[in-house]
Amino acid sequence: MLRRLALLLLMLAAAAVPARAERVVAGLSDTVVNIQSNFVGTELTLFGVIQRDANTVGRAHGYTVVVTVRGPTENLVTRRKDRVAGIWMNTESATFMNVPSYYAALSSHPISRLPQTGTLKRLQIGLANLDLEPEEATRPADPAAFREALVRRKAAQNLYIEKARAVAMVEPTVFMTRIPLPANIDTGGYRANVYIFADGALVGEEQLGFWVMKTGFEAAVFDLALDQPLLYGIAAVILAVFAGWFAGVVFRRD
Amino acid sequence: MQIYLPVAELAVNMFMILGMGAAVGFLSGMFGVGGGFLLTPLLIFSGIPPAVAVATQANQTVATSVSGALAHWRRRSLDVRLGLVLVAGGAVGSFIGAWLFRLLQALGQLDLAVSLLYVIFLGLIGGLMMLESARAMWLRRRGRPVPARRPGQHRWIHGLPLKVRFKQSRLYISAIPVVLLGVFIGLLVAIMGVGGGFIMVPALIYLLRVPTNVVIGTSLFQIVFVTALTTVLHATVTGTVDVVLALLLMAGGVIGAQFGAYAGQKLRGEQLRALLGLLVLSVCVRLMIDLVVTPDDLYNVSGVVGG
Repeated sequence: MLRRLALLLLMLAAAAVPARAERVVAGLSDTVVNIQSNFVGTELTLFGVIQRDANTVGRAHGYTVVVTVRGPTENLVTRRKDRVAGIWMNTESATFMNVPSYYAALSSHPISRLPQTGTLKRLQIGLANLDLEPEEATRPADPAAFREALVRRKAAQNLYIEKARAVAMVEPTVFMTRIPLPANIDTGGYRANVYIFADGALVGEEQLGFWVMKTGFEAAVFDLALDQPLLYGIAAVILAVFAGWFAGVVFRRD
Repeated sequence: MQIYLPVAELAVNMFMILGMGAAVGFLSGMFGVGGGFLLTPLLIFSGIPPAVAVATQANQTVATSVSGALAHWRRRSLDVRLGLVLVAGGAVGSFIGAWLFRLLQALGQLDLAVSLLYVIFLGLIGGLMMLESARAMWLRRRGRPVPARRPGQHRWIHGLPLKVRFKQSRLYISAIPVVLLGVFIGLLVAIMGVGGGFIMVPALIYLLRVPTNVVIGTSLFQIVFVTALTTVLHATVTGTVDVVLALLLMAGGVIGAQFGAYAGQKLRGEQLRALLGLLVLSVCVRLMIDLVVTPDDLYNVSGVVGG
């Protein structure tokens, strides 16, 4: 992987001169993550270089690099428990459609230190700027609490991440970060966006993608369960009947 | 060692699941019970979503009841006709159960419903077992013979129409209570993932007056078919059967049951029942505590079902 990284870095360094003053080129250590039976989560390395054209002077305060990663979207319900007759049961709920199943905001400096302009909101940089609105029909009395709970529960599962100083500046213009992908990530297409800020303004951005896929036996099981549920159910029964019969034969006592 | 469960979509410790299967298998071998009513709560305690725990448990129960049913089949100690009527009822119950399951999922009340049902059933059964065995032990200590249970006559059941002759059981009774019993068991299988033997056996003996020599075999016969149907229904309607999890539970259970059966021969009946009753009650209490104690986070997040 290191050799690949070095090679890519070389290629990136040789890339054409940009139209903008700054230009960012970045790469990922892998474009496919395979989930197998021993999958306990993994990390992808994202690295990049900030290129300046000859006319641009160096930035006095250096760069702030932010990498956001979003997984495939899903529809979620956040429910609040209340005590009903002594028992805690779900009462009020809010539905959130098309929210990212995974979101990470990794940065070289805290996102809160960037000027809180419309840019962060528009690009959904940082958990606070993530566009999470409950559906109108299910809008609870206190939507902010439900949004906060959604982020909190997702963060507890390591599926929503915001980490400052997670992007390392190897050199003033070369950066690198590790994208943590826990065991419970969804399969599908992931998008990584790299944003470069200098003196509080967005000066460059780049987008990369990668796939998370199930492979081998897990993929076969999952696909069958999803696409051919009847066949899957019958197979599960046959398997159980065989297991029971086999156990009966092996341990027969009569 | 962690293993990834493809349908539950999470990684669990393989040895923990195998161990749980073996421990419950040991108990079921020792006490001669199915064990689903212990395994499902254990799975829930260890972080498996209740929906997956219930549906996968139904699948596992197929395996645990097949070998027993086959043994009874060979000895002809089961009433196929009675079993088939029960299965017919069970099929209806299991359809209704799977539909209810889905509805509760969509309403966000499934976890609560499963927990509540378990608390009620485990509480009732555990309590009855404790009482019964305490009474028997007390009588034995007093040197009095333990009286055999003599159930009432239940004449009203014999007054119902639609009578069917069950030759093997030497019974001529109405099909209505038999079908209703089947429906009820089917519901339990679909919503709780248990085989339902703990309801079926006493109901056959005391309610329908089926001779004891065919009761266990007929009950197992019915359980095999109803849990098999429920597995298929859950796979298609709720999509919560995890074959990898089921395989781990089966492997652990089969091995555990062999040692359990051996251990069971060394203990007296009342002691066994008292032990099992205590165990059942403690699982019940643990579930109850989870329902009553203020949760760490009042909010929870889940996928939209039937959206």
